[in-house]
Amino acid sequence: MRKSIFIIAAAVVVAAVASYALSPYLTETELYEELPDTVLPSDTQGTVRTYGGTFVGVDDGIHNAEGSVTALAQVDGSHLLRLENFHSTNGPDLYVYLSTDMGISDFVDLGPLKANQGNQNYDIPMGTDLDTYDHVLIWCRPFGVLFGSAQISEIP
Amino acid sequence: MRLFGGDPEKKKNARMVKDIRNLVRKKEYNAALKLGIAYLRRVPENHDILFVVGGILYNKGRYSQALTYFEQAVEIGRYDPEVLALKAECHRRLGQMAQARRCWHDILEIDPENSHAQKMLD
Repeated sequence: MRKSIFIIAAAVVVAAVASYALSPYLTETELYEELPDTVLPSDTQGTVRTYGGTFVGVDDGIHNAEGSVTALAQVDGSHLLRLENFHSTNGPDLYVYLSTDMGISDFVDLGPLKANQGNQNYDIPMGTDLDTYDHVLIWCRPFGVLFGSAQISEIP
Repeated sequence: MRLFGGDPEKKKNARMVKDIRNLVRKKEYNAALKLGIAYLRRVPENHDILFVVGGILYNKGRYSQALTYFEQAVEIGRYDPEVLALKAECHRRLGQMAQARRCWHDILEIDPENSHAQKMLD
């Protein structure tokens, strides 16, 4: 009897801890990635098209995103999306999208946001037209909510 | 054409909403909170401001107070699963797991595929 009470108590504690750990609201995660070797050196970036912009958060007390974003040319002709000095509020299942506007009627999914703080890299599929998909969105998939967006434009 | 039909009360309310948003944008949360609460005394059923005030209180770790505003927001916008998720978070952080689970179930009633609610209930 005592053993089963202990097992039940332990299960409750584990469930509580797991639930706390799982909850994404306002938990901070950091990731600082280096630039990969596949990115063309900065002195050659002028010969290829690179894009940049700054995040503007929704800033309603819960949803926010700040920092800069660049799309850097890579040796294979594709672009790499890089977030720098990035900080967003956290939320459940945040994704990085490239979209034609601040909505998601037409977008390219770059995958789950790796962390809500830091410098991060995301591969952009080859052939993505960055003049068309010129908005970077931090999007909460389960609730269909925007946390922040950055409009990117070509860096002269 | 005159906005708000010249009604000074409506004009003042609109001004207050604008000021609350600006204060949040400038991260002056205490001032935003004070003005938000004052606004809600005038216009108690503004879902967006209930969300903002609840959100600020939540960020400050004042979960039971945040809950009051999220509950009002849920009453107004029953079909807003995100407010339900934040309400669930408040309950969870207050150790009220039964109420939190009820919120996640409510989310699944609205959106049976909601991955967040599914994950939290698993």
